[in-house]
Amino acid sequence: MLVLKRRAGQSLVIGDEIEIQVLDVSPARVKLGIVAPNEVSVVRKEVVLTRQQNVSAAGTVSPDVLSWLSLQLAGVSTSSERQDNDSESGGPEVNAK
Amino acid sequence: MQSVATAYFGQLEFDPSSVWEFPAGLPGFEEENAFVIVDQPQTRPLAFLQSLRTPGLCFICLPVGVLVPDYLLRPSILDLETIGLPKNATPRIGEDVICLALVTVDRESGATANLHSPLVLHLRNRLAVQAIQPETAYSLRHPVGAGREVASCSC
Repeated sequence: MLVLKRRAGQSLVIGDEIEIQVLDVSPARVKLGIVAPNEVSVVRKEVVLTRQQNVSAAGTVSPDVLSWLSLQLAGVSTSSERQDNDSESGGPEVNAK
Repeated sequence: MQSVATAYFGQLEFDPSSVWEFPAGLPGFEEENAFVIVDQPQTRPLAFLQSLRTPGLCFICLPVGVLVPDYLLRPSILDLETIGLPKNATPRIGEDVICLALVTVDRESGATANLHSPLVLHLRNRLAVQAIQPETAYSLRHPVGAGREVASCSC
């Protein structure tokens, strides 16, 4: 990783077309301005991580996974939910909660 | 009642008033704006978030309270706005909103739940968003499994 120090008002240039300006520096936060072509995606890292995690989660559902997961959670006290549902024998229901 | 084809639940009937609208979709699934929650008694407390647009798209979810009973929800202003709440709102889990974590199962990490970016579902207007919390100590991959303290959930 390249590590540089900048003060407010200073910039970094990446490649030929990307500039990162340090607009403001305060104890808990840095305000950055990014100049980049439209085709370059600029996104907070946690959005990228969430996106990746969502894609993994979407690939997760399958009957074996569901039985395994239910076993993992076995013993959870859900008495408050179980007592108001009589249709134990029914299939999936869309819960309008 | 309406019905939708799904990969895991066959032809699913649902009441249109039970649809959750995600105006911004979900990161990685920005075009997915409508879901229903499928509840199966035998797999509780897990619930399933089924897409109305893509039959094969179904997420496994857990109410955050099952994993962390005193879960602290601090959505960004933009996320609050997406579900029609004012910027200073402090939505209460179970009363104003339902808060669900998406579950992932993989060979290395086992089963984990994304407590960092929960789904926040506004009970009154049926709008929902995945709130990537700007300041939080919760993990993207919070372990789910046997041996952990798991609480009953009233949400």
